[in-house]
Amino acid sequence: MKQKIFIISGLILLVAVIAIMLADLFSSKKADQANPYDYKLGELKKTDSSLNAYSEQLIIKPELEEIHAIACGPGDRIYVAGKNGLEVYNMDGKPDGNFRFEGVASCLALDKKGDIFIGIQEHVEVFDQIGRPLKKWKSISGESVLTGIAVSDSFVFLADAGKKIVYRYDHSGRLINRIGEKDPQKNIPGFIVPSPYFDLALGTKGELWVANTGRHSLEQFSNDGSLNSAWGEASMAVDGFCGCCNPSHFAFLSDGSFVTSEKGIERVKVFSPQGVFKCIVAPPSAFIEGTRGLDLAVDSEDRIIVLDPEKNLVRIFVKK
Amino acid sequence: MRGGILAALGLLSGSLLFRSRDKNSCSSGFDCSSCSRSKSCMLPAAMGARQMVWQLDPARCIQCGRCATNCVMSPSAVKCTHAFAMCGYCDLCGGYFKPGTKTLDTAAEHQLCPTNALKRKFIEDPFFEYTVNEELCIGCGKCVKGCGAFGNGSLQLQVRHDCCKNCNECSIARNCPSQAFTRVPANKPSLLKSFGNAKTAILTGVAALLSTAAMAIQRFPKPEFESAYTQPQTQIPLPRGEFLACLDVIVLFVLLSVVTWLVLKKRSRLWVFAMSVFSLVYFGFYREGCVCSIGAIQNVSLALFDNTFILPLSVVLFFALPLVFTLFFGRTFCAAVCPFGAMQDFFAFKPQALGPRLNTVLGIIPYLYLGLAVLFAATGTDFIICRYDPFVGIFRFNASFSMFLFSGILLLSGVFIARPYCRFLCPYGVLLNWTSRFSRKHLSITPSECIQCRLCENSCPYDAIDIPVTTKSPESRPAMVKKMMILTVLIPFLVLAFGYTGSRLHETLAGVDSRVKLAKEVLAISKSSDLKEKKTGANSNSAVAEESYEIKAYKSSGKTEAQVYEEASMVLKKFYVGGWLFGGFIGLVFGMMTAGRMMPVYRTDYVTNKGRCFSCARCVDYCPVKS
Repeated sequence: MKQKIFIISGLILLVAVIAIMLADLFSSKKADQANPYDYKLGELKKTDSSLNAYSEQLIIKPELEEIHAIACGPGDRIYVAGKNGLEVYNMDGKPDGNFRFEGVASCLALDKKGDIFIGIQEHVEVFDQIGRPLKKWKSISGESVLTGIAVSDSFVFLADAGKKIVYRYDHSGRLINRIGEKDPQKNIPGFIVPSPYFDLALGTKGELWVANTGRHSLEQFSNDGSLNSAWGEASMAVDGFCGCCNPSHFAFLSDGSFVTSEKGIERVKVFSPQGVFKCIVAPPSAFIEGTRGLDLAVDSEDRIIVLDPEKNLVRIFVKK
Repeated sequence: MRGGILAALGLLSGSLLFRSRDKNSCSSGFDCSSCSRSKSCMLPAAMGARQMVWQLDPARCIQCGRCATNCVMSPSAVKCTHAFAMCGYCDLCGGYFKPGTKTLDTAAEHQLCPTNALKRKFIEDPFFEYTVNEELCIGCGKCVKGCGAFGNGSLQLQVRHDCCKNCNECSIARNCPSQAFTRVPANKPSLLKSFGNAKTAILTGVAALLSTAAMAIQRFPKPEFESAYTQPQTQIPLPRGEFLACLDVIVLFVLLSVVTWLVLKKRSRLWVFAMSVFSLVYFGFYREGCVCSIGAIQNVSLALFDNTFILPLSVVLFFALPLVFTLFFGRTFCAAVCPFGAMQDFFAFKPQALGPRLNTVLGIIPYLYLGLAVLFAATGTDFIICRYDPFVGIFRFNASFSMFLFSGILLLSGVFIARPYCRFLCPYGVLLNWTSRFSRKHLSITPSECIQCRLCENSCPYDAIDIPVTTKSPESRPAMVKKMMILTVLIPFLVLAFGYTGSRLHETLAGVDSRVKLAKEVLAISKSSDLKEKKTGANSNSAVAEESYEIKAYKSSGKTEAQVYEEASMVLKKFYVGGWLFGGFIGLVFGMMTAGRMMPVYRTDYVTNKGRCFSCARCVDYCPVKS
């Protein structure tokens, strides 16, 4: 009798072990989704909808791959550049030309004449409106990574993220001077570029503004390299620039207001000419998480044109 | 027969290890990790690369937190590792500060890390250095997520090999929703993202530089420090030395030899017991039960069906050596070399004889377990032998409560049913059982002639002594012919019937596979969103339930729905074929068991059952014949 009890006890335990194994192996329950260490980035990306002053008016789907640069040219035509080519759209989003070139465009600007300046890795190539090559500038440096370009009547400004410097050239491609090198005597802190996002643009009066992304600020320089003013604050909040290096891109509205785009918390915002936050153009919810490189352009009607490389779209926002 | 089995084992090992004979040239420039022939190459570099360790691919990681909660080690062997070369040395570090922090200082309340394992140090304006205190890091990935979202992604999760036990099946890998865990060669044990060489990287193109994915491979010029600060080198601890794996094999071989000698020549239970204590200490508590011969079945199975799986030589030897010894000398491996057996032996306080029927019925379980283990391993689904390894938690003094409970129940049942795992679960025991039947020099109860004293009758706690069977007159020839005819029909019928049943169960079996589970989940979501669209219109913005990590990982992988279904479909196909084979195998087992019962048995002495006997030498002590 005692032996039977022992055997039965042993068997029950053995069967229990096998039952546990089978139940665990073939159970259709989902893996535990609880994450006690979850970092909910979504919470940071929530914005007050009353701050959204823009709505999306138009979407353009470029046929190019790897789109990285956008600019607005004469007649409010939209120029989009990417891998091995450039496409042009009219202000209604209809295709209005294209041409091919070798390389991946990283920045793009047009002069008043309509000549197209494209930054390709470490050099600039200039094309006319129908894509005929006009000039290929010599390579700056093996370590250069051109990420921003702006063209004034007399000069071409280039932002080199690799060398962390801005160059001023004339239209023929002759280097005039370097801007933004650290100089404590002139009170120039130097550019901090922790990641390859380093933009520049010309203000409504032709003044040069550069995004010092590592310092979360926008800095205004004169042509000789003097630092005139700067503004910006590091903050996850809507009125600041988040993460390690923002704003990644910026442009100007006709009243001198700044349009900025950020990575990390993907958003496009408008700041007054004095750097005071005004409104949101596109909240984080408008973008795929992890979107980077939201290049910006503004047309004559103050429509904000956003390049969304993650969705491979050009998105046009207008004031509500 | 022995020669045949030996040849088969040799062929199997040879084909898995040395498919190529090219010893003289290396077309890949000794870059084994990228070489398609590394598995079969016989160059020393490739042989070294065949020692594999677990590593996490940060490019796939979605920071789900399971590294912190699923590792068998506590705290986890996965730690945050800082690739300093990628760091922007930012003041506002997304990996260090809690969101919304206004004051950028080192106050604990501002820190994102739940264990304050990330340290911040001022270098010079505006640069700050961040270092990881690995003793505090639990591998939760919170800082990694912050750094990846807002910064360069220099904080990355990596398996620290000085903490990792390199389990045969990594518990985190099994639960990782993004399949970020992978086996890498021990001589290249890191998958840390790095920018690589600055010039080369930048020359690869701006487009790549600007894309998110490319951040993983690009080096951006590091901050130009004006102070005397020197950027630290990222340290990746090396895995356990390869020579130690060789040492394990040597210990296994020596131990098998010594135990075999003790069992067959010395016939000493006491010494066999002493050796089992040594095995328990070395293979159990020192080597922490990994890799073992039992689990090696899965590695061999996977290597047979998956050309990309690299099978280390040490694993092949762990699989083959005990079988070779068993083929000649019986299951001396089970006697005192296997730490599982040794562990259970200590708990056999009240072993009870189960009787032949119960032994036969329960004896089917290991065949089922072996079949399932091979099926799941061959299809790349799971290593279930390791998943349900009952003693590894005890060997490591580190396991979840449920794992300890599982071990506890098994050991408790072992109090009454001696070695329950070895007898009624162990899949390797099936292979040992088969090979032992052909052993030439198996342990015998008596060294010379049995005197029928019956003293040994109840000595075996494993019911492995066959008692004499009353001599019967041989069956008539027609009766034998009839039996043979029945078996000739019955066995193929059973194989086909069970094979068919197995094939019908292929969907249930495939349900264990993570790829099939994902496809089901994707399909369910797709159906529910279609339904929602029908009900509320195409542009419904109604709130959706939070996605599982599996779905998040699938979305971030860039795979399309069709690709997910295609993968699942491939798995289902494998399981369909596997189901036939698995079912057929079980049918064959039943058929052979029936055949065994139908065949007449004549036995005059008390003898050990060659298949079931563990060669523990207990019975030897009971035999009064000593020479």
